[in-house]
Amino acid sequence: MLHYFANPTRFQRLSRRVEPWLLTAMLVCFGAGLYFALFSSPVDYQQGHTVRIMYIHVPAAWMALFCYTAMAVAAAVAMIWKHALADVAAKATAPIGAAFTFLALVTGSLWGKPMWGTWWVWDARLTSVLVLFFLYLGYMALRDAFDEPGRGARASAILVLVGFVNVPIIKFSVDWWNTLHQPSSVLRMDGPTIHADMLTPLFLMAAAFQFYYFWLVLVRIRRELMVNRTRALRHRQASG
Amino acid sequence: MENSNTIVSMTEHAGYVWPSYGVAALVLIGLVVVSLRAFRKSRAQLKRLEAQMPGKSDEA
Amino acid sequence: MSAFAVLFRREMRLAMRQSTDSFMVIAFFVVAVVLFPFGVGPEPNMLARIGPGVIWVAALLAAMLSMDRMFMGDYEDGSLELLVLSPVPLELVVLVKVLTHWLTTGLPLIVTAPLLFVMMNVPEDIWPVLLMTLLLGTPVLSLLGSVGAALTLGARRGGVLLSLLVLPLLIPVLIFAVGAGDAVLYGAGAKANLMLLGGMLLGALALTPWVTAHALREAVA
Repeated sequence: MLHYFANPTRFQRLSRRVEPWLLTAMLVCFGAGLYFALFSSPVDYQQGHTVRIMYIHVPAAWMALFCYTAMAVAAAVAMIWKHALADVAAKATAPIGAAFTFLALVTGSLWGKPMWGTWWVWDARLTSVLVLFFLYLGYMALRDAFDEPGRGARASAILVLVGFVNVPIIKFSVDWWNTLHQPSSVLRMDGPTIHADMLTPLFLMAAAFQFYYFWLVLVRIRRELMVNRTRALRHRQASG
Repeated sequence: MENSNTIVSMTEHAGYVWPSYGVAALVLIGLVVVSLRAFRKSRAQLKRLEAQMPGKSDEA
Repeated sequence: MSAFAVLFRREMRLAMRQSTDSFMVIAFFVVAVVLFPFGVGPEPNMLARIGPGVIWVAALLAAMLSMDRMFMGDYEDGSLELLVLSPVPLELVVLVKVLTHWLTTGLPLIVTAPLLFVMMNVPEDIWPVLLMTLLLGTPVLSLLGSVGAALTLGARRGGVLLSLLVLPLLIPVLIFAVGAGDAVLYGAGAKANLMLLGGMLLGALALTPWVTAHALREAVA
């Protein structure tokens, strides 16, 4: 099945057919999600309205992890079966994942100010997401650092996999470090006890982000395929 | 303090909630705009190139 | 094992010829740590509190300085291709390179560290533990650094890029190494930390030569 969809022309045709559906699903989920998130969800008795930040922050953090996993899977497929399409998928995913990671950090900070009284706390979760953000930046920088694009693709694929093995170790060590250095003055936020009415906007926003990712990644993959084809044609033109 | 459930009544933490949604909109829409613009540019480039070399057998 | 001996002798001879590199690393290490009292003030308790962390961070940065040279010379003069094609397993070549790097960077850092312990007023009770963490931790730096060095071969601004790639991956080493000193001060004992550092060393020793060798093959392909 993998081989079937790995054919670029077949992929182009298929993704052109799927994209409008993904776009529609995304817009519907965003519409409904934003309605529930902003107008029709309860105010947390401790956190007040700031709980609404959760509907962005938590799905963004999920997507940060999801995109990294997707990149690692794509990189592994590209490395083992030499599928050009998988490599392009990894490349197309990276900026989207970095954007979600950035959002998780910024909204986390905006949530932290009213809750903790400070913009940044070395909370275990925020710290791990920060390290994940560095891993995304490293991937994109390495991918861009070579004159020959194939070299960048192969090197960055290895880097993603090394990072993927390391992510649980980093997460574990940061958790451990955080419990040791837990600042006593800081208000603990064990997350709001999630009210059932809060789950609706949370899952709707998560679905919207998920559709956003799949739609955008298809667009970006098709763009990369066109770039590759342009390069091949130029090459043929120059040598012909 | 909390009399209504909607964000319209929000006064207390508006300065944190709105920027969160604003940044999210800015980043997500910005990435779409950048991606679509790059997509159109690459498509135009490819079209132009394909028009230049009509047949695959045309190697001259 | 004769291949190992031959390779090792070659690497050491090359490293000896570049012995100023080692001195630069040490000098950087000392200067970086010495800047801190000027930055945060000379109050002894404060220095003792931050000393282990500062020394470890400086050691990380100093080790990064010489990292990009690990395969660079062989890459530029073409001998890396010969090493890749030779019947000697490339993983062994990588291990020899890492060992040489550790002997010329990690070991000098460990030897210099006590001087900085004195200057940073680090309590004497935790000296042995901190030296132990350096002994277990610096080889991990060289091992993970070898992956980064292989990946960035031929990259633009490879040295800076290497640090950006490798430093985040080294955060766990930093956490457990500095945590070992704190654990002794809190009376908890550093055994757990040292075990975890040892585990990381073994894990890195088992996996990284293989990854680095793969990256090197890609680099010369």
